[in-house]
Amino acid sequence: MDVAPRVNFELLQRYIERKVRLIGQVENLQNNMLKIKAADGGHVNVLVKPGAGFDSPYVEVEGIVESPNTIRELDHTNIGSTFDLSLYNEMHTDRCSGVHKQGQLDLDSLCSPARHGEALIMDSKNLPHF
Amino acid sequence: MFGGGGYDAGASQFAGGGFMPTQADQGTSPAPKKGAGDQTLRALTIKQITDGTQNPDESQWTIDGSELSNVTLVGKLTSVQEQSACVVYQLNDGTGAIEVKNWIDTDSDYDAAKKAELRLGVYVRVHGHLRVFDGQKSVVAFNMRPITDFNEVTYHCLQSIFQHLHLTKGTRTGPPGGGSLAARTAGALPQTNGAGNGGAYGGGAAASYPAAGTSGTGRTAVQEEALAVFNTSNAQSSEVGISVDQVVGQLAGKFSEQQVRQAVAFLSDEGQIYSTIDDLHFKSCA
Repeated sequence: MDVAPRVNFELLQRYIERKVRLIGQVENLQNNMLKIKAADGGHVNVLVKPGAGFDSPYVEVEGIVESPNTIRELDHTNIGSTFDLSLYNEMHTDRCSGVHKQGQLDLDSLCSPARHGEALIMDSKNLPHF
Repeated sequence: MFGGGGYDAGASQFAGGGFMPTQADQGTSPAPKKGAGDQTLRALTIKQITDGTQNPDESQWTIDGSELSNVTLVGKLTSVQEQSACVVYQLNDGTGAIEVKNWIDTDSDYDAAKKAELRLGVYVRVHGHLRVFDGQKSVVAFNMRPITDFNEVTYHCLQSIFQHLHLTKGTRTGPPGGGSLAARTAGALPQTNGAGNGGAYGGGAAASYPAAGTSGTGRTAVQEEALAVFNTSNAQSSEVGISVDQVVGQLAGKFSEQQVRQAVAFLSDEGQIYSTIDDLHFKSCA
């Protein structure tokens, strides 16, 4: 099952040894260790795959969780500099509120849009129009 | 008196607020219309697609209780396979993976340029049609483009969540503002699509009816019961019908006199009952 749910720093602890996707702001790259700040403010260490280039301020990392604050990278995507991390965080809290309320890991509710979150009616001007 | 010719009380039961199209053959279950007005474009995650169920009679797929026509997906290309007249991609959005087929015109330079942009590891937006072959789901794309602003990924997640909740739970309250907001932020979700499913979805026309319409006819419980009293054979057989007082008495245990009188006035306005010898005696039209 090729599933890598989108997570925030908070949820890393629940996904030890599993594949996840995390978006964060690049803070520091030293040797093969990348430090990024996740959407909910947590700091994550990324064990970088050799040969990779991290040249944009925001990056999405796909990898295996080694510890509650470390991910071993499998792949990454440079997102650019115009990414709205706080909006992404809001999307997360709404989607994951079901998991926290139940106090247990519900992979199902994480991979599919929030089943338990409240009806989301966002102010349309905050959403990019396509 | 009516002979069952013109007014069929059954049809109005289903007219409920004007959302379902009133058809001449309303008695039988209406065949699903596949006209232009019913084409929908749904933003989905791949997991929703793999979970979707198929109506065994037709080839229509149902997700969140609503039939699908077109879908839009956002994900990363994890495999690119060029074939003679098409390119087969694997699209992965974190919730699952699905095959996307994009037919190309080999003579067209435009197509060739677009194809070059859709490389391995690139995030793309796909618009297409869901297909099932031998139990395997795939998407036939009619448009694919790489994503340049990553906020589009956030937007797609939000849109999928919104549409999912909108179709399964309805909007929070029924006012017309809610309906138009749905149309603006959720893409091409036609009103007819939403009304068929969300139980609490009142929409504009039904705003005057309490949202808890028990029978889906748009009438409240007290109005239904009052009408039922008028429809009893005793009331029907009498020339003058029955008086409002009698109805109040019959429903005394359940509803207050005020409520019953209001219900009778409502039914009379609706045309379900008509006054006979005076304003205090009514008879049902059924």
